[in-house]
Amino acid sequence: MNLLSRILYDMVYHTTPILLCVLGGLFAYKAGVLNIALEGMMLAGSFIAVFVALHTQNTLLIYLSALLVCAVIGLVFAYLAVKKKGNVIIIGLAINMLVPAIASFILQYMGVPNLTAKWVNPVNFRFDIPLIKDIPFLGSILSGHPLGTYIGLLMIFVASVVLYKTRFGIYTRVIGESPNAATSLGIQANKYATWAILIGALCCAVAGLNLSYERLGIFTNGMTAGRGFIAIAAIYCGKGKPVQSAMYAFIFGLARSLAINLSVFAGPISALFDIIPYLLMIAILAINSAYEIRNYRMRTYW
Amino acid sequence: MGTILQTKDLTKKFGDFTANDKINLTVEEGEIKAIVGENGAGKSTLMNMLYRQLEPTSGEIYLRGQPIEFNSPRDAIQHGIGMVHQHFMLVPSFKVYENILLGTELAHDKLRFLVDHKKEQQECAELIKRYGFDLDVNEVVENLSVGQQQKIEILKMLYRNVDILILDEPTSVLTPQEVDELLLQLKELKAQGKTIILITHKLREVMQVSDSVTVIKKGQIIGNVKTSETNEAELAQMMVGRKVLLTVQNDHIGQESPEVIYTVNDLTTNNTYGNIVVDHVSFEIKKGEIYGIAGVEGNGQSELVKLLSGMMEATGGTVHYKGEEITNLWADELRKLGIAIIPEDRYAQGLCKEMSLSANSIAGSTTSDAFKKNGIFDFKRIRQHCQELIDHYQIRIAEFEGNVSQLSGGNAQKLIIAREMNRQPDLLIASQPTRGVDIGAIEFIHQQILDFRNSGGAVLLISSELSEVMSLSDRIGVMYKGKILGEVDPLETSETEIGLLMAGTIPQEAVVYEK
Ligand SMILES: Nc1ncnc2c1ncn2[C@@H]1O[C@H](COP(=O)(O)OP(=O)(O)O)[C@@H](O)[C@H]1O
Ligand SMILES: [Mg+2]
Repeated sequence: MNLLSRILYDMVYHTTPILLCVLGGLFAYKAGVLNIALEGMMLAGSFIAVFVALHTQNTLLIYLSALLVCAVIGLVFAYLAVKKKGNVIIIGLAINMLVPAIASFILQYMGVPNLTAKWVNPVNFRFDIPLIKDIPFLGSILSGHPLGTYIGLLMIFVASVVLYKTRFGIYTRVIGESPNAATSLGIQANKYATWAILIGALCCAVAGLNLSYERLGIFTNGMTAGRGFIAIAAIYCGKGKPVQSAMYAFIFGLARSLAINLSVFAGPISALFDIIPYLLMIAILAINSAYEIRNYRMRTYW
Repeated sequence: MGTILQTKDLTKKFGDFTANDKINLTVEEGEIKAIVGENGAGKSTLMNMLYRQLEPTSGEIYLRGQPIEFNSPRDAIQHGIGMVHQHFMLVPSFKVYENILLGTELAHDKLRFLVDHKKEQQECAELIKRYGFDLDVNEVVENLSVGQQQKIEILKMLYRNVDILILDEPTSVLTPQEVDELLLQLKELKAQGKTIILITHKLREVMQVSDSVTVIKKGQIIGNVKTSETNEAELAQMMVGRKVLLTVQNDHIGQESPEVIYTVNDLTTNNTYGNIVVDHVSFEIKKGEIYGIAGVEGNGQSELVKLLSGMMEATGGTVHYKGEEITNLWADELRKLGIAIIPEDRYAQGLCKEMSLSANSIAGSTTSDAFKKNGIFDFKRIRQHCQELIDHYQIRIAEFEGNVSQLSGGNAQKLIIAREMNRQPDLLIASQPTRGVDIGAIEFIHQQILDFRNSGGAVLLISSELSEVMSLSDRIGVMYKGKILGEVDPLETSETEIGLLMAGTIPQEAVVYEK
């Protein structure tokens, strides 16, 4: 593999968890609920996947347990935020702080610095897509990824169809844009908001699982490293539209890939390259909002 | 025929406040029932209970003699009760057909979980044709005029085959022509057998279309009359509880002098989406003159006021006041120059609801030394000032030390007017001065504006109530799509002519001074 295809392969590889978070999280965004707990949900998925993998090699069981735990967290969030009308920032923060705290408590209790499922060999999780792998150049970028990546790519299509072509998606957009219109026609906002949050939680489970189990077989606390927040930034920049938001996810993935591939040449300062995705996030958000308010003539603060 | 809808002792309380008190309403099948009452009388509350959007505190509703048991708007629609709300319930980014079918989407023949957009478009196009409306199903709602949006709301209900159609203040946002069109459409629907409940506070419309009228005041029914046996004056008296002047006495002879005090020249700005919303607007106001701006809401009046009151920045053009350029000055600078401002939304821009009456009474003058002693607020002096305003302008308050939130809409507006007029300005910018204000206070506010004009003041009056602009102004500019399309003299023009201008056409034979 030459450097370019290496960088692009890594872009897809590193985009995966962000992409999954984005495509799941945009449902809540469209429903008008700010879900900042994506980060915590993803970390929960990472932890549970490897934790279960310590005890079993059954992939299905590993997937199911991560999904289940994230679904529970999602339901807690939905219950507090939607049903009890709590402040979403505080609830989200609580989840984001609680999950790593529980994880590090368990690590400490077990007396280990991190969890390692020794049987996991990430190479075994990567598989090729029959036809696509033979396409020159493109094949080497799109093929040979773990399952999570394919789920993520497929989700771009699925999210678009669900959001624009099904009742569920239409109602989800309505409750976010004009909740009064929804209630006046008997569309139950709470129901759709809850499902929207749940979809986000489930996608976060797959994202977290991809990050820890599929890629390394290792869980270390804090390994999500702000990807959930980067996902929120991508959702905002893409206004919750699946394809646009996914594009921003890819830009962040590319930044990560560049940081890793270029740091090889950088020697001792290579660690500095790790800040590229975060700098890029600030830059994109700033440019994005400068662009949005370019026509703003009001003197009010908001 | 017979009674189709009846309520028995229907009551709604919001906390301690009784919005509807033992309402016994009877609606006959196939009639147009008008419900009138001042703002805040409880009309919308009553209708929202009939439509099951609000749960009654006590009392019953009977539909065709049966007590109703259903509990949601969705069920109400299924039982044939539909409602068009005062504030539209549309999804702005959705297309016309998506809005009409919202909640009853048509499934794809084979893939049942998908929505068949093609089929939806066809079905809506047919519906629109059947009822003789004029709409493009594929238009995005936010690009449509208010009148068109209202048609979507009505179609939404017609698609669902309702027998009873409730319309909550449907005409307040329409041009006179659109109002006439709507009233005709309502008569047409009545001819097709629908029962219509029309809520309004415009008595002319009541007289024009309704069969019977119910008057509500402070949450209670105070009269049921047949339209053929009453008249506007009687209804107005029932609404307010005393005799009222339906039109203010305006002799149209201020002390109008040739001296121009305020000149707006080619003023232009854009909204957040980059669209020009105020488009090269120019006009002059002389001393002792009321310059009115009419137009359907959303044609740039709101932005024009924001520009002129320092809340928004102009991208082009100038404003001169007493020969001095004041373009893009801030509100406090404008006030210092002797310009008084009655803003469009009294709670967002005119008052701070959660602060005391006295604090609100000096808003805009906080830098003035008159209210300070050694650089610190002199609260005794401020309270005294507030009390003077309350006495002089007859503001009805419950508690002097309380917050502005205790005031009714009319009295809150009076407080703003008192505060602004007390500064003895030379120019008054009044935007929607009587919106949401009861009839009694309207009379008072109109008189204040006329008195100010008669004493030599200049007034810019922006209002979406055409009758208000017509009866007060000395000259009227009509705004359409951000431009002042034409200027008319209220003494020489008719509502029809202004209506045409409001809809964007310049009438041929009218006395219009084209801009
Ligand atoms: N949700 C609510 N909570 C508290 N008060 C309300 C609510 N809705 C309406 N009110 C009050 O009830 C009164 C009647 O309101 P409304 O029915 O909207 O009047 P109308 O439609 O006749 O102008 C008003 O004083 C209003 O402030
Ligand atoms: Mg109302």
